[in-house]
Amino acid sequence: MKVIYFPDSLQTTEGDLRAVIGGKGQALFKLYNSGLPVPRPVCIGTVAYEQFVAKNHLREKINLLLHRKDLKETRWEEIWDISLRIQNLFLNGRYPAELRRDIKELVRVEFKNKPVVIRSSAPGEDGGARSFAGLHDSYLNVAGIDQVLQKIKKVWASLWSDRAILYRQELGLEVASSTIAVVIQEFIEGESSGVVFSKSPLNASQLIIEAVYGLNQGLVDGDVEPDRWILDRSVSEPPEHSSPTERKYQFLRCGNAGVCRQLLQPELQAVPPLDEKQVRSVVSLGIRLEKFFDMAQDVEWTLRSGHLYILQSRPVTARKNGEDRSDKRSWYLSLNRSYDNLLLLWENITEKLLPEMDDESNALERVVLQSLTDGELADELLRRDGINERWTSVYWNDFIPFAHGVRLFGEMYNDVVEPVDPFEFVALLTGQEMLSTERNQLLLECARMVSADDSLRSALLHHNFAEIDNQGFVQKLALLKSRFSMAGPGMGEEKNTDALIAAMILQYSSLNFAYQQRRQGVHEDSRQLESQFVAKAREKLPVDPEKLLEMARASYRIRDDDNIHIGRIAQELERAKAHARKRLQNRGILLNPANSVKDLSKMLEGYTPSTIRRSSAVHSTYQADKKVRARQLQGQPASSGIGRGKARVIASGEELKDFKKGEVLVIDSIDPTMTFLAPLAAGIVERRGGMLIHGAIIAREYGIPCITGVVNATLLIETGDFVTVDGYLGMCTVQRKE
Amino acid sequence: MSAFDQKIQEQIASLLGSQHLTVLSTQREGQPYSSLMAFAFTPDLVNIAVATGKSTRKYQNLMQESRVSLLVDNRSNNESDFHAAMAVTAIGKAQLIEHQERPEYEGIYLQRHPYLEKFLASPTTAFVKIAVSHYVLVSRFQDVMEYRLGDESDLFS
Repeated sequence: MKVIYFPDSLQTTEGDLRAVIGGKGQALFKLYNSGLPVPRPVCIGTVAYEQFVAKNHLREKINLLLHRKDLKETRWEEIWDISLRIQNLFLNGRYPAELRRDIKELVRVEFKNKPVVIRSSAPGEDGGARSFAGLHDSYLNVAGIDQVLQKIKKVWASLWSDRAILYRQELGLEVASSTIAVVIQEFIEGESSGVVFSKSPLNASQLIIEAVYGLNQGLVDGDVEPDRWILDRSVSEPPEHSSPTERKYQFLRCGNAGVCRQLLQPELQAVPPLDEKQVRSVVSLGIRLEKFFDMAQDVEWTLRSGHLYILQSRPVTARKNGEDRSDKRSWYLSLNRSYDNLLLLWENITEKLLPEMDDESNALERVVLQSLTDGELADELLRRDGINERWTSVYWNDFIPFAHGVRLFGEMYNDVVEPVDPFEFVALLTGQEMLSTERNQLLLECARMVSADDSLRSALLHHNFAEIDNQGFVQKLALLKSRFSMAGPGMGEEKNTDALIAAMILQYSSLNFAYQQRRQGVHEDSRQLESQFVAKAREKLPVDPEKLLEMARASYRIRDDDNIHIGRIAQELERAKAHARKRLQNRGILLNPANSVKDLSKMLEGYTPSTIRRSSAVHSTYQADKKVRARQLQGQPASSGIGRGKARVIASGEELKDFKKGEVLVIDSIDPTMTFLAPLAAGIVERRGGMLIHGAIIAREYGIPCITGVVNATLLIETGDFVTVDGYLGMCTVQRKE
Repeated sequence: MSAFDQKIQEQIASLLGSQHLTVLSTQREGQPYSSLMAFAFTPDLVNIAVATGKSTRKYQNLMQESRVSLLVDNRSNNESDFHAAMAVTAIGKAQLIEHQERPEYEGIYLQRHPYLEKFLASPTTAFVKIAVSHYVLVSRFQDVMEYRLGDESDLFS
């Protein structure tokens, strides 16, 4: 069966090769055959994908990953995890000998071992009106046969990218029938590059050009702001040019592989990347391609030594009007940030946002609420509500996207190391000082003091915090409440917080204090992995591996820490609310638990809220006539090991204090402000899914088996059930005692 | 009944409905013995009916030990079974179908297996029903749910 296709095969077959070389491959062949300026394309047909999949038994392996639970109940993060696992199956797979030989020969004869570009070309992609550009991967500047073979595997694996799985229904993605081809072309390193929309997606009478110095990568990823020319297609006036705020960077080839961002030479910074004549040739290229395909085109081009090259051309897709706002998929995909974008986020978060947030919560803590008049307290409530909202939006816009640093590191680690376990990279990120482990350490110190002092124990047992005269202990208690926000939202009144802290310290005093020693051995292993990675990455990656690792560690740590930082702001809002409620209640005013900040603020100023809202939170409890029960539930193995114990299902903040050492924590989703439970737990079962979520992070820190993404976990498991948590396979077995 | 319970029951009913054959496991003095059998079931899932020659080992086993287990699955004997196939194990007690209930069971049995009419009518064939106490449904390779019909809580009581 034919595996490799050259442009002339389109002429000999006279027909449609889309099914075997994909839409992009076919379009490039047509352009090349018509004499348009395209680097000569060669395609590796879909049959190669199928041979590789068959040889490595990937079909059912992919199916098992995709069908572990209903994809409708699978979060984007979990889809990303699945995709990483699939990618790893491909990276670890072996080529059929003949296929490997054919590709080697192709690279030697056709490309004379020069660097190439490797692109995906799926049969269903770029097909007319519905275009799913960018669903699958492409790689620039791939040099050497080993790299070519690896990147082809990655292009095949990208048939199962997180983007593709999210849009599986629209794409008709099926393990049994879906397939993908690969296009290889010589890598052209232009002096400037860009895109031209022969018709603007926003205004069909306009043509738009965007251009940057160097390669297109920065423009496509949004890391380099382009120069832009807009032209009215019906009028022959010169285009309207707008410069970016600055021309500081360009993407160029990296010595070893890939491309990377570099500073633009100062003399070029003041000059647009295209002169007038070049703009005109790009315009005519756009129009020519539109005529060629008889459809408006979105063309990527590059300019080298005065020659304009077409890199790819696809139909312009207009954004659908009235796009479904509940469709969050494009937002998820916007979380896939580039390395350079992550570096900027990192700097902004650590240099600016976190210190500002802490200053803000420190200032809020200093406010003596008791001394405020009613009017002042009413204003203070609204002010705090606004502050909380503002930081919540910072959390979504900056902190959440920065979490992608861990994922990007994972992908790069797997490219370089090709480990058997696709999540091996996590070992390099654990064992850091994090606020949650620092807090747990503080709890442990308190527990030690309690073990040595019966009066402290008795004060805690009876919640008589006022009686405690050990100043060291009192200071630690204050830290737990303020710095580590153990008095977080959902705890209600202060006495509840005291009860929780007392219960936790007492439980910690029954812990084996030696658990930290386990970490030493783990550190040894991860240090070895780290030096292996760094050595290999120096040769293979276009970025500094140590900087990458540092960024990934920050991403991992901040993902957990940020919740505690923002928890302090929420806690300060809560403190003001609690104080306002107390003040109102002392005056005999009846309050409803659902009274909002605005209600409370108004009531302080003498108004009565017109409607009393009822809590809308309806807990869907499983009305068990106990006919159906779970025996074994699947999730993802997020922290290895096996743990057994009685289940404790935690449904609300008030139940945290009931948790006992040796129980299995069963929870909808664990937040870093609750992870003081982790060292006590025999295992963790979480409904929310993901290998990199908080429950998983903290479980790995303490070496506790953890499975995440268990559908209906809190519904199907009851407190008191005997549960076995298998952190190797990601399952839990439930045994009910009657 | 909750929607969740109902969903599981529907899955079991649809799996049973999709298959003609079951594997019946009997035992004698601790030695298990499995046989492939035609079967039918009541719409409430409470009873499963099978027929067997009276001179068979399984019949003799049933006479000595009425506790049995049955397995029904929808495998296609392809590798896709690992993610796609479902299996249900039924646990219960076997007893001979009484004269007065015979028409009902004959109805459901022959509707599914009209070609076994002669076999079922033979005086040497025993018509047996299994009163199910538990179903154990396995899907997605290793998701396991139990559906309890009887009062016994423990599967093996």
